[in-house]
Amino acid sequence: MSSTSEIGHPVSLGKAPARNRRAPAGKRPRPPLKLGRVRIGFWMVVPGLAVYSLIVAYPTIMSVYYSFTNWDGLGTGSRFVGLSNYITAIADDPEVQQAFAHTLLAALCITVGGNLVGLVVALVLQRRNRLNYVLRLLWFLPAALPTIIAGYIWLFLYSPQGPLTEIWGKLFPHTPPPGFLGDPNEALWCIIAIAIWQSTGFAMIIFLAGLEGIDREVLEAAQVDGANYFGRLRHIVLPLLRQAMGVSGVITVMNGMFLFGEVIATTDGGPGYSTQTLATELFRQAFEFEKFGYGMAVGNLLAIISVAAAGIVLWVVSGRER
Amino acid sequence: MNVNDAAGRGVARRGLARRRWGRPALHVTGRTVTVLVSLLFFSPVLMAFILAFRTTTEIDKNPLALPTSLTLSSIDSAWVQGSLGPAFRNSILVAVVAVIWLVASGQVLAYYIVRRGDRRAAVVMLYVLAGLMIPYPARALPLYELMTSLHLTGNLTSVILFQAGSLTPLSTLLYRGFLRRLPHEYEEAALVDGARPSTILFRVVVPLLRPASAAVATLTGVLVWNDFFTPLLLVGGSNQETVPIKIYSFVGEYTTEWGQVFAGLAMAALPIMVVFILLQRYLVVGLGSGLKG
Repeated sequence: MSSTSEIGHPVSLGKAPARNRRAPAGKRPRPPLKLGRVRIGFWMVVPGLAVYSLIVAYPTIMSVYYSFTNWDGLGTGSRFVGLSNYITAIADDPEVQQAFAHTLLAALCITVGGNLVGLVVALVLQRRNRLNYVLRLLWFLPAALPTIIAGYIWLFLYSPQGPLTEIWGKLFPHTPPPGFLGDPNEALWCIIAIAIWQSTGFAMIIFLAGLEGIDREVLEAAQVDGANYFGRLRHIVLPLLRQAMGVSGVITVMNGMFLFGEVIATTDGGPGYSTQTLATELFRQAFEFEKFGYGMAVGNLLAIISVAAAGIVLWVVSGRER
Repeated sequence: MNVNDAAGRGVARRGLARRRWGRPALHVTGRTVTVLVSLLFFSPVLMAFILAFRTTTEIDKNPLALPTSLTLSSIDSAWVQGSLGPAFRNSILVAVVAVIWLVASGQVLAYYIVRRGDRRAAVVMLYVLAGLMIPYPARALPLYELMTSLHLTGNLTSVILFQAGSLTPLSTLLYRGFLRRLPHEYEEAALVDGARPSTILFRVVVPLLRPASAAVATLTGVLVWNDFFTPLLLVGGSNQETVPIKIYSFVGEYTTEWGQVFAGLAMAALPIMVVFILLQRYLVVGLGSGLKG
């Protein structure tokens, strides 16, 4: 559409008037120029869509296809095996089942823990002053670190010669220190703690942005009516933060489901099998055992439960509306 | 009347914040606790930076001691032996190219979706935003295979392409949020003056979206800089490794040179922290309005 010809058409402000004036099919006159509707050509979005399709859409479709085969990743003949990869993963593979349980537990703890701490910190630091700006940064910077770096920092903190063991020895000289990452019963919890540490800052930022959007007059009215701090928090602020909770909850639950860097940096799935997650499992199946088809089935199961978990989060958050 | 006004302004300024504590002593205590808890939360990062200036033997002897003398030997060996220099070059190259792509294509896509507002725009929106819902582990392996068949594994191009494509939905979503709040008037004025739609986009809208671009660039830049899983697949083991992958190779299975590791961690973390400190206000604003749209 060239704009010079459009200028000659009647100009309608707003959207309503043009809608009912649809000409019959066939040769219909150009719709009147709608201000606020600047139509750039489709060709302009083609490069963006092309890269996106190559990187996201195509591999997603292929992962569904390959998960029905026994492909080994080397390109040499693969056979269609139907649903058997999925059935094996769900029903027959105790390792994947354990990884599944670890992933669910981790995602639950990370979502609840990260958001709860993030919310409290956002409430405490919401007043705008210089001290709070500095403190917000302290809470946020761990979230900005690559997971692999966060993992290594905590690997040192948890190590038998590390600071946590030493502090424990000073506080409780008569009880042996916990094994942390070396103890199969504790390792997963130690990794969850790292992930919560990393997800708190992001949740805080989203809650701070949500708090900024709350109309001050509502709070003012409640205060005049005699509502105390916790009354205002429960009946006004938390319901109004629902959208922020949805956004932050979905992001943290997705991150929790895909727990990878922290595990690789600290335990690599061990000791034994105690910290394997579905993300590390799919990596292992594909590159250690060369079972690409099976790995993709695991990856797709992870994708399905992640989307389901995100849906549950949104349902829980909006469910309180009723 | 006057009293009410003052109270109202007080609430307005503080928002939900607690009423000022009755006794100053209590107020000071509350602040002190907040500061101490915040410092405790941050202490692992602080520790990494302090340990970067100590040698491995010193750290093994007494992990908690403050450094008695600052030594740059760990930093030097991380940079030289760990060859962090090339890794930095690779990471910067990937981040710069990918962010430029994301800022450019995100704006065009969001503009197409928001201002066109017809069925085709709705289809494009659903297609792109669906990418937000599909977690990427599912597509990591086919992507690896695709890059292998294009002979791009071990090549930075694959990482750049990956980051540009996989963050397109996020960048589009954020720009979409901003655009929906952008008043039409500027574009209308240009339209009445006879500007082409593409001219309006590049000469009117792009400059108006500068705060949004700061937010998008910060957020995607950090995500690109930190990403580990897929770059490990694509360039792990080659000489094109990015910083997080290089750091990953620092920790051996049996020997761990903690001094060198922390020096590497500190150097890798420093650029991100500086970017955040400088751009944090754009980030809060960006997330605030981008995610609401």
